[in-house]
Amino acid sequence: MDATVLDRSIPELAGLVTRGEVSAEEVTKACLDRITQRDGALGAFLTVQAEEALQAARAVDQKRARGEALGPLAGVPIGIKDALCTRDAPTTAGSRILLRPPSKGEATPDPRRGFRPPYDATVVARLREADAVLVGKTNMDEFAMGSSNENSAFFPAKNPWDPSRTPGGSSGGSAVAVAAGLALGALGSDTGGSIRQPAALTGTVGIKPTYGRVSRYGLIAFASSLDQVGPFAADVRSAARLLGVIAGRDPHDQTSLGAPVAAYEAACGRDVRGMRIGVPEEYLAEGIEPAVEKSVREALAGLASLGCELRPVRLPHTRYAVATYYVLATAEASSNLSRYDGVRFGARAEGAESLGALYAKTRGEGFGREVARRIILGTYVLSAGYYDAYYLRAQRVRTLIRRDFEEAFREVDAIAAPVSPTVAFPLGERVDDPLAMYLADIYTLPASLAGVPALSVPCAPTPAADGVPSLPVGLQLVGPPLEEARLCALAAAWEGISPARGLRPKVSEA
Amino acid sequence: MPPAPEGSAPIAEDEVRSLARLANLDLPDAEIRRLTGDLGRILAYVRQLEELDVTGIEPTAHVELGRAPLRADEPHESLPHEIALREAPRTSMDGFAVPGFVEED
Repeated sequence: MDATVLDRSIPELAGLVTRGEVSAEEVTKACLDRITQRDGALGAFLTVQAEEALQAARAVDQKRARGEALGPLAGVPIGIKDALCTRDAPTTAGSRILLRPPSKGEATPDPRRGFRPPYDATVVARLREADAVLVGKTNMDEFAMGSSNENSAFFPAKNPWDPSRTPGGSSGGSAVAVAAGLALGALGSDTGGSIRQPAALTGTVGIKPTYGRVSRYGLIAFASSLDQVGPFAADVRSAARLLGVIAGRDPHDQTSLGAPVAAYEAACGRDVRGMRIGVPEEYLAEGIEPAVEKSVREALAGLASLGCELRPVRLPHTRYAVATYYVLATAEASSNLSRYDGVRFGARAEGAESLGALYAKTRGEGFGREVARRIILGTYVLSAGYYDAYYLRAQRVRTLIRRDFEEAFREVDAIAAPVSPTVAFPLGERVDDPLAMYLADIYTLPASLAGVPALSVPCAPTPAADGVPSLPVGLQLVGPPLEEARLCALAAAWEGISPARGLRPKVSEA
Repeated sequence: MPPAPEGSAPIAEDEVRSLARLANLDLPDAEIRRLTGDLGRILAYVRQLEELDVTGIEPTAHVELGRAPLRADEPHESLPHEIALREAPRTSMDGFAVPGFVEED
């Protein structure tokens, strides 16, 4: 079997496996070989579950041999962000605090010692039921806090378009796995842009569904009112198929929505003529790199050429999104992360003589710098005397940001905008300046705060210049609540004429 | 993207130290100093929220599109004891082991 089968779309590969033209086992072996050859230089995976993946693949092949119908992801290799619980397989959330105590003489933290969850996240269980093959757990910023993957406690993931650059974050490993062909799809989580931004920076498709569309059961919580699981894939149809598998009501997540799951994949290919696309000028103002703006404006012209009607819209509270988000998300995080205390799971500091000291020492040693920064900021904005001034005020501004979208969606069917103001930036460039890192999330935060669906689809990469290679750019499409299918239709229509179509990075093999 | 404002740090080192204590984070002094600088810059930026008049605006704690029905209040199986203890760094007498805390103030 030719390894290029891994460069097929998810519907194509699932079709090949279902018809018996390739076996799931062959596909999985090819995928694991590729990970061995390519991932040493990229760091997309924290752990690879080779044996379990091969077993799952053989089970799919046996199911077919028995004449049983196969699921929509038959034999498709998928990567899972390490923030999602996988039964008995190491799960670290990119943090040392979820590692079991090291064996003697171990020098560097090893994600293979990660927490072994007693259950699967609902999205993981749904992938298994759909006959997907889960190949490994992908790298991420610790507890999904970061926009560059450099806050991983283990190693940063690297951008396959230029390994001296970040793939974005926090779901950087999932984006790299898909961009480099190490998996056909991946799951990530998006709290303020953690799917869309790495998708944009790696030239992949990433969808953040409506808040509540996908179950959060088994997702290690960062900010519960914002966290949402979503898919990555190399093309819109593939991402749409994944979304169709993971979406829907889950009795284990009280915030999951009971609305019927739309036909996302069937929406790809639907005519988009006459759709009204809002263009928020606030998003194409100061701070955006000219090459990124040019590429996004070309994509807008592309949508117009498909018969969409472009209209200016206003989202006047966009400029407050970063401040609002970093108050609300850190407040929620400071509460959610209080469970890591060295008692029930994960790491435990040695030599603490009181319970209080055990908590403080375990947490002081176990959390990385960005996580500690956010816990303390969240503790501050929730503390007596500051609650009204910061937390409550930010919640009110969140209402204003939601209203911006509600008003815009009275006039338009979707909003088109950039995802990130820059292309992938060099590793190390922003690590010492947390505020600069936060400010770059400006275009993705508003949709998160409003709870509306949004995706990133590649537009023309920037031209190579001054020793900087050509790098991917994402177009963000934002829709009203539960209109993921509309976004898939628009993204697929644009993808059909996009200069980025079919572009893949050249990945070196060890 | 709005520029980061310049301004004096609105938070003192001692305040950060007591926040770290509240958050159960034992951090070295050098880290507390560094965090004080970072938080000062972040809070100076966050203060731009004060520009907005939010009188009478309802707060959004959660974007809720529809309230899901409550599940039936029926007993069901929970995690088996040995599985619940499986990942604990230290166990004792079929429970989680912790240092003594009765004497603590």
